[in-house]
Amino acid sequence: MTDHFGATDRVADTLTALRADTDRLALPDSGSVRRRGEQRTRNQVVGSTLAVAALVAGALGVAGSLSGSDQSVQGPPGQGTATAKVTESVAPPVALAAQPLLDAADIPTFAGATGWQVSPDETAADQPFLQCLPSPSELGAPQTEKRFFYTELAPTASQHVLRFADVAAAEAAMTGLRADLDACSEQVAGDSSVDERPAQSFGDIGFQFSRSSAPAGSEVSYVEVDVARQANVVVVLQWNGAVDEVSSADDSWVWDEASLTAALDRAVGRPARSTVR
Amino acid sequence: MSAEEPSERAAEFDAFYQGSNRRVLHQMYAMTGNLADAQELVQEAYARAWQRWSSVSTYDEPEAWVRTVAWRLAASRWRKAKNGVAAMLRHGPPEDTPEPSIDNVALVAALRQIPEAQRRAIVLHHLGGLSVAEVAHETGAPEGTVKARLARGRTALAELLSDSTLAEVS
Repeated sequence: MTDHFGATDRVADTLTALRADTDRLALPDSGSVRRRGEQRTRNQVVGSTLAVAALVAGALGVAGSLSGSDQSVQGPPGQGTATAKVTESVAPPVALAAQPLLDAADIPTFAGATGWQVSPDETAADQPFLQCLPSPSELGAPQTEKRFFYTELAPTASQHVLRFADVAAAEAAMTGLRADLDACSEQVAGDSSVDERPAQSFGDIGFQFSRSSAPAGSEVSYVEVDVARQANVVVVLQWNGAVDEVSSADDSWVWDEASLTAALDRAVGRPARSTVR
Repeated sequence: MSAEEPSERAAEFDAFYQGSNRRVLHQMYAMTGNLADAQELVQEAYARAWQRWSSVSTYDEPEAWVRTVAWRLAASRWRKAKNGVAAMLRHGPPEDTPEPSIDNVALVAALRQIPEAQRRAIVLHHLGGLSVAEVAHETGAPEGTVKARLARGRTALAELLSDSTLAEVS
């Protein structure tokens, strides 16, 4: 192996010794892995449908039959409960919560940025966080709620909550957003880095994107875009600011899965969950 | 995905799985320092890859996607467990966890003591053969940060293993 950093290959030799342990470890055949993936898909579909059905039931004033308990909503899939029967209908679009946006106190502390405040000018949320990414307000949602957050220091953040007419429209908007971010990746200069990850809590309906620019002194410019969808509702969170190398070295994101889930829950009026999965 | 899944897609995934799973397992073992965790994380990551195979199969590096998902699952578990690695170090691994071979006990213990980001960089660069730029791309860190992690990680490994050659730079 060529060592691009110029260090000795002794480290590689040392780590290769671990193969003695993994060689005696069995892995399932590929068919078993595929079945596991398919089971995950079925569980996610059932779980998602249960959550949406519970929201609809609540809107129709029959929440009392669900005992007002999260447990009846989030019980193990496949159990023959009264809640499960509600899910036999097709998952309909959901409405936004009365207060779908985050408060300043909900912005996670990142790179030492604290003291977040909500801008009185909501249109500030449409400022470009990435030059190559159009504002989420331009995605054509019939209903858009947005908020801009700022600190006394440089970092800024924004949130858009977009309610589309149906799930298909929301999916199409996310596809467009994803394509825009892919284009952003291609435009990034060689001295910048781009990372992206699926937001696994949401199955196939979330992703996160970040870009760090070239170091300028001891700081790098960091931009993060987080997107999550529940049915026909899409939440887009953006963060932009300078971070020092120490902050950028801890592999963390502004929005972890728990806080991103919480933002989505807030948008659709779903009770906060104690665990994220 | 279902039983109607075109067999060629399944065959494509099977070939990918069989051709890469041992490599990813090896890397995840080095990253986590735990055989049982590595085994479980690898299975879960590949299961998720199959869920999204129509997309993942089009990526330039599907293996990198699997590795990243496995790593994120590991990191997520650690964070949820609130310093679970430290707890494991204090209390030892669960009884049913496969133990490292005698020759690797010291190495595994040393790896567990290196900060996550340094360990990941070392594994990707030295075991995975990724360049510094590729490690930076996969981890989302600037190249300078990756270089620093590699240097610090090697130094830490050398000290923990009392092997100064690990920290040498030619």
